[in-house]
Amino acid sequence: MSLSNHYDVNEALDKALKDDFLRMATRRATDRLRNGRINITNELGNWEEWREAGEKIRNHVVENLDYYLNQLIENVEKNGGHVHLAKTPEDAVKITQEIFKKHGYKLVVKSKSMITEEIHLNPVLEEDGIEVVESDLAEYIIQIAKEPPSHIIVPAMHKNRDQIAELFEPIAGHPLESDTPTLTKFAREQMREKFLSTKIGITGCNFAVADTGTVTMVTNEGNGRMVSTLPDVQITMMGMERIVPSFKELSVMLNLLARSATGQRLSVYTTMTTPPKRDGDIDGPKEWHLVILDHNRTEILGDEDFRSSLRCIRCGACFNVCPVYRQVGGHAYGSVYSGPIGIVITPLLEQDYKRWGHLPYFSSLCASCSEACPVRIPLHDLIVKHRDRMVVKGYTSGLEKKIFKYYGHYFSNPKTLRSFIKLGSKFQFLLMKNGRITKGPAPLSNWTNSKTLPPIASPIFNDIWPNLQKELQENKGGEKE
Amino acid sequence: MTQREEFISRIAQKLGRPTPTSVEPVEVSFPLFRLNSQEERVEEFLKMYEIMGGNGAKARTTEEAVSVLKNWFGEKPDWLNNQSIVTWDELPTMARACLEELKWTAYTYSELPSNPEERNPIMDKMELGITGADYAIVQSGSLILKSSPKRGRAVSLIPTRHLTFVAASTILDSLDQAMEKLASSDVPAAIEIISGPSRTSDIEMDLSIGVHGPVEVYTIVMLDQ
Repeated sequence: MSLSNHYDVNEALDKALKDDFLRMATRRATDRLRNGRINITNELGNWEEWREAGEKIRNHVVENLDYYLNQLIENVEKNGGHVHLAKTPEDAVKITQEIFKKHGYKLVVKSKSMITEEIHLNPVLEEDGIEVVESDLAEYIIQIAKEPPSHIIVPAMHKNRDQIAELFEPIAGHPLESDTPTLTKFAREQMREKFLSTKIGITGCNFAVADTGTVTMVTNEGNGRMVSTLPDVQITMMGMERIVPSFKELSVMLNLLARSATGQRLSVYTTMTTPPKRDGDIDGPKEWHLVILDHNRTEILGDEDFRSSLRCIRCGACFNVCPVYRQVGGHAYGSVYSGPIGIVITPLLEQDYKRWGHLPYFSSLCASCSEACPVRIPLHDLIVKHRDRMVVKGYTSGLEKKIFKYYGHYFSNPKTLRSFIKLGSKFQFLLMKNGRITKGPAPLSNWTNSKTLPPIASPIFNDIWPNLQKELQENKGGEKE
Repeated sequence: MTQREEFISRIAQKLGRPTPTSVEPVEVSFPLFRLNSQEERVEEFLKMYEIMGGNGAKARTTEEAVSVLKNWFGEKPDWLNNQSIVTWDELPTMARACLEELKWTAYTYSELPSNPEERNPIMDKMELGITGADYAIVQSGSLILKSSPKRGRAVSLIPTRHLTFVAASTILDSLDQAMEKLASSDVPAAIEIISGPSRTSDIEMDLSIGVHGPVEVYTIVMLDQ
């Protein structure tokens, strides 16, 4: 799930923290999305009741996932669609390659799909000589920039208008003004031609409806509609947990999704397709493939500590309130899914703490994420659970283990604790400047390189406590009189 | 064991039980948005539709509808020519009567070439697509369009403008009511729930109208005669 082979957490964080535009843009976008969500959820009346309904529906589906998957598969096949079950990302990629091979298509237009990011589909198709066009405006921008999404809802929030104009210019073949209407118009014209000529489209899926075999996709630009209406062949990619039982539950989830993701009452286009096209229909795909991806979701299902993370509807509300995400943006995480939910699911999807063990520390555990989540996933608890598991399984660094071992040894004995504090208060002047500790040895330097620490009190509390106690006794005696 | 059985049984195993043959539906409750009368629904829908960026008006007769259209597009729109309007094959009587009254030349979708390679470039030049909606939703200012052989999906998508006619009696309070209705009849290949013109905020969070779908959207609410 890495974005490039090289990733170093400190380098990535340094880079993000030094990028003033990125930090301003991330704050601006997340502020707007968060405030939009709060306003529009207030309008609904009792938002907590809605969250409870959402949690209940998603729990119900997760706990009966085998039943609903069976039902979905049966209905899709009954309607004439093809279902492909992919255990691994490699399987999903191979299935897709086979479909392209069968038809010999050399151009594909995609609408937004995080699953295709998860399985790293684009580079493989491109290697097969297929032109892959992302049609969501933000996805198009980052595709040209050869960058991964920095947010699951607004993937190009880290790019400014001048950078975007610069990216478009070589394609336009002439200079472009960087105002929004010009840039949007350029993308509309570019994409029109692709929409009208492509024979195959790839889309994501927000919710699949088990009892009808319907897939639902929400977009604002209309690209999702184009890709699911005009080509002859359509491939829909979904994570295997993205199911609702029927239209009834879908209506609850659509309200939760649009309001939490972008602060809209509903997205501009909620597209519910039940492909393939019916006899006599003029448009719509005549061949439809639904690719359902496991990629260790089954493992998550079997892990009761983390099962609740499968409730996620990928609205991104947790990103917008996270104090860590808001400072560094999505790329610093190094994973396809960033933000609090990315911290939780990435080590599980990849079943790899060695590579993704830095993620559970991209959190202040403030719990804003859990509060924002429309399906009430206890995200901060799950992040703590990851940290706990990493300690138990021995993934923490040797230095950290040593520090905690000595900490446990010395600090559990009052005598040694006292003598350490005394020692510290006596010699801390070596590290101090203007009454604060300013330069510590490693690992304290990780803190003091950017911030200062208050000094240990001198004399230490334990030394003045006997006197304080005496004073207290005397005062109490005085009160009684 | 087939691949599918294997896939499903792994899930059952992780859940620690055999796959159930039936499941009790989940019961949920949440505050419902409800208005008192159809008159109120019409007014509130038109208000919300405009908030969503659409142009809405009501009309009791073809005459009234024609005057609304003239008001929106002018006596003779500058974009109007012999190949600028495409409509659904199945259209409300009022919509058809308006076109006749205005003497605007319109193609039905099925009159266009059946080969997409010929049809798509023609559709791309269309300035106005005309449809009829099955339902409208007050709470979100949305229109619901079901597809069928006589209700082509591209008509509400590709032309620069989309005009739809919806009967006042089909305006519903909220999405849950609409879903109940949709679930009780045959499910078509596509159900589109449309709330306003195509939009994006992907460039510096700056709202921009008209990306891939229609730039302008119009609705006439047909009142009972």
